[in-house]
Amino acid sequence: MMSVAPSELESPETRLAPDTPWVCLVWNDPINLMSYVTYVFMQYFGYSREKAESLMWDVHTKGRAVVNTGGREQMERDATAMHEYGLWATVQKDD
Amino acid sequence: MGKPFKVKKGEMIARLDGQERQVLAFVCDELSALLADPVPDPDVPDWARELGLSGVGESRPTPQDPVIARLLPDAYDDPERASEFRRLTESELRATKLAHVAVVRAQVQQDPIIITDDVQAWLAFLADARLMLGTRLGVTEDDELVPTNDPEHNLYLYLGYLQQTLVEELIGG
Repeated sequence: MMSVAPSELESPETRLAPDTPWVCLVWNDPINLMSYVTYVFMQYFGYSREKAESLMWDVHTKGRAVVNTGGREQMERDATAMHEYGLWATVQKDD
Repeated sequence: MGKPFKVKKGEMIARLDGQERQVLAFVCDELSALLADPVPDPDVPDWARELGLSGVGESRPTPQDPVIARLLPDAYDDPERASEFRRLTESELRATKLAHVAVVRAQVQQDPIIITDDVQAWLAFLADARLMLGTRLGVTEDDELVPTNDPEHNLYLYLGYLQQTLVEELIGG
């Protein structure tokens, strides 16, 4: 593998326009059952039961949770999928 | 009363009596009517509408009806971005939800009801039906989940029971 000096790799442009990740947030609601929310996280994201349950508790107790991080288009696809399941999700830049 | 959903020989079976089927058919019809697209824009030619381009060019604000706004929620905090995203995706989301309802509507007339390949449609339908009723009832997290004199409230509880038992059958209690 060729080695390139960092100064050549990091031009000012790439540092000014970083690949800022976006996040998909799921918000708490009083209607969806906790078991169902857990199931959706397992089924759609392929998360383990443990991780899905922990995210569900975050949603329930903190009012929302970041369920995925990545490019904007993927986060929009995830939010739409959540809406198809009846969960309330939004997309935003990861600040 | 036996469980309404049961895995038997690798198939997910819904065991619902005549009255339950009737109630679910009623809920399906109500949800379908609610999700049907609003009056189409006369400026959009039919061919464009068929291609799902009906929303192009117009802005799509958050729906006024809180039930619709909950079924088709904003994907962004920022109203402009939310409207733009809605313009591009709302028709498809409506269509997906309507397709789920149509699957359930057809299956409640079958006997036995084998939902193995349609579990996702059933789950999404149950979730949407509960959102419709729960939003209308103004459900809060502090509400006690006990039957009352209000038939709509009891229907909401019944659909929650179906959702809970189906999820349990899928991932264990």
